Amino acid sequence: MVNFSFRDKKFRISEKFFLYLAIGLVVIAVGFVFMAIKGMNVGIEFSAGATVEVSVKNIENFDESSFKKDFEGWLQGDRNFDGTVEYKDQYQTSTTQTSRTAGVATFEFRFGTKMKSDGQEIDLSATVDDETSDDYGKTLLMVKAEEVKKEISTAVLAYLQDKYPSAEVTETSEHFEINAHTLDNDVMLYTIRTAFIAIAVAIVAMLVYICFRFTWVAGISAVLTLCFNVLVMVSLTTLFRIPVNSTFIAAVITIIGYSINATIVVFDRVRELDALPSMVNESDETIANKSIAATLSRTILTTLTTLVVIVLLAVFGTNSIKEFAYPIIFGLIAGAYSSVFLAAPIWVYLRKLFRQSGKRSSAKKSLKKKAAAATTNA
Amino acid sequence: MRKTKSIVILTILAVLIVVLGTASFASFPIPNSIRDYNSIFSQISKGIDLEGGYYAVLTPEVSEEEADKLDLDSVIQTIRTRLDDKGYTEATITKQDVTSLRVEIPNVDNADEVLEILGSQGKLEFRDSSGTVWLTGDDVEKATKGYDQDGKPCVNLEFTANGQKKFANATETISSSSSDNYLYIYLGDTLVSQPQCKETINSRTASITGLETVEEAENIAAVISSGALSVSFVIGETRQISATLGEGVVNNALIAAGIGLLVIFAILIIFYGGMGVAASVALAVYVILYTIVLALFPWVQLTFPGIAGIILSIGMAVDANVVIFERIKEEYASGKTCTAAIRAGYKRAFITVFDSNVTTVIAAIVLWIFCSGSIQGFAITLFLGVLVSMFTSVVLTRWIMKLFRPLTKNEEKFYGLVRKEATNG
Repeated sequence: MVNFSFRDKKFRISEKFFLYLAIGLVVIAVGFVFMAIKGMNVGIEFSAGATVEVSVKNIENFDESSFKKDFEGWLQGDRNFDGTVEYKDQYQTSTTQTSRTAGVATFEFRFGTKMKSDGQEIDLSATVDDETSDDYGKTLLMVKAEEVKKEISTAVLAYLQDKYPSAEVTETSEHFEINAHTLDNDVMLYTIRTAFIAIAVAIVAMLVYICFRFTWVAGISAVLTLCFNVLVMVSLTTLFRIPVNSTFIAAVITIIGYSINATIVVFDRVRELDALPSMVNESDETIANKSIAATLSRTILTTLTTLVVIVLLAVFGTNSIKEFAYPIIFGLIAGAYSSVFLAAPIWVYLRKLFRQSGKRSSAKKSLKKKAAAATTNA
Repeated sequence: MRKTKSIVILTILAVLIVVLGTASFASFPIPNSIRDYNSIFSQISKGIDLEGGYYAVLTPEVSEEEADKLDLDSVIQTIRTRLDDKGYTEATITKQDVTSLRVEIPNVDNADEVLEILGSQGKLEFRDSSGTVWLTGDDVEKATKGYDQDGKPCVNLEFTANGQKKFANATETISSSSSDNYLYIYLGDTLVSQPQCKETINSRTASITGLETVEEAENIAAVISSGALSVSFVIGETRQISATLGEGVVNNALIAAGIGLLVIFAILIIFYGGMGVAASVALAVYVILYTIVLALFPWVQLTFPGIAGIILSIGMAVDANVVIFERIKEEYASGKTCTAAIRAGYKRAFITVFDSNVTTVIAAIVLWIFCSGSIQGFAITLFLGVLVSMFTSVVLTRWIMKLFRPLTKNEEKFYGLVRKEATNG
């Protein structure tokens, strides 16, 4: 059995608050500078885009999975859609019939707003401003959807002719059909806005609870720690170019819900030590350092166990799970760092700022007792 | 005697975990039957991202110029309300080709019917025999599904103050009319009900009776309360789609969670010995109990963010035990007896666990209220998970540790408690 405890170690973490804060802020700053230059890797769910549907019909021995694989390879590799391609495979159904129609396989490809064309990256959300053009006023997306459709059409034709010569596929034959649509993203943006508002309200509600159960300085410190965790998470997600989809919102909320726990555990110890009569002459720094030491083994173990599950999820997961797991891993590490190096030191600093330093709640009690004793004596 | 009792209870607990654990996660063919046993986990309803579903394109039934001016955002809001009312919080709506809507809904038995409701304009009208409109959906404040005196499904309407007046006027005129005493209730172009009016009814409430099925009542109520759409929509293409996150997401997540749990068991036992064993048992119970809770609650629809909520609550269940055990170690190191240390540890650590979990529950409730769609799903799974984990990690571990007591010769050693811990400072 392993026994490790840091309870009796004498840390000097609170005294080096600015150093630890600086380290964190540098990580955040690097990420945000990177974001300003290159932008976040916004996934298809959030960006507007186009969808192209390919239906392959009545070809004997048609191998769906190899078509899917070859086509994906073509889209991402040769065609250089730069990772902004997703496909959903579908089976054709009529409005009344939900079972698979014999001989028809439908694939859907989704494109983001950025694609590479002749080696240049173009932003499809831009509108055509050439007044002489037929497409004046339309977004490039609407124009390119057609273009992409034609291109895919040619590629599919060539592929089918090559792989299934006996089917004698021609451009006019009934063997394949291609549809293109544009997709808007404003509903998704609305969802994000609601999520932001809800997160803000949730943070305020947590702040109220912490102020009520602890002190208002602890409440503010906890919320600042929380914001730090989320900012680090956003920064690292940007730096590692991880696509931001709706799972990212879930990841952010997960970290908010999770990392507040670590902070609360530290402040719980601060609250306890603060009320101990034997601590009445100790400084805020000592209280904070002792609290960090007493909770350190818990922080390490808990972070470790959660990391295990998330890392396994990333290892076994599909791409979309990985997109979720990496930000969580960043958030967990940030949460462990901040609950050790920032939460309690921020509390010490804020108390200095609001001239509460060194005032022990145990002292208040003993003062009251003394005062009560004095009045009864008199 | 106590020893035998402990052994018996622990054996029963172990058997229960194995049996229920299998029932929760293993699906297998039933011998001598053509049917399969479906695990409890597979019966949790799953969202479009995990299990696929349908998509439909809704196109407004208007000319192109009119379509350009159409306020699609308010239409989206209305359709969103209808979907949420029907429990499809996971459905997504996207604008397609500027004027159409693309709606994706999870796997349902009656996809076509659901889609009909979405596109239906939902204009409610109370008419008399001459076709005069007396009351519209705007005069209705609330519409809910209910049952009439005969136990048949109906829709209960609650009028606005203005609506009440209009309804009184309508019933007065119709009941005194010489030709035909019927009130015709139309939803769009369909006549849903035609009750006879014999007297003036001055009431805040009314009900639409004569409906065939509960489903019908539910749908009409959902359409009326979400409000009417400015135009009606036709359903273009409908297709079945596979899981939007790709195949095998659920299985991969399950494998990861399974291995993760084993590693957590190992970590807990390495660091906390006998206490770790108790926590591992409690954690196994937690996973099973939570699966059953998720399958039982009808409004739970598991999506990927929901799985995140589950993982988070596993983490918090472990955290609660780590906090408690650390405290017990600390209390023992400070000189208390083993029994006293455990009692003091649970008592003191409970405050910590309570505060940290309540904070998370507060966040979950806020998200539940303010958000729709998959984030709401996340909030629900997180909320339920934290409640279940509070029980297993605080109540259950303590009970299991009590059961261990008669079986151990040296409790301190079994729980890995040390008087004086190594100090380097």
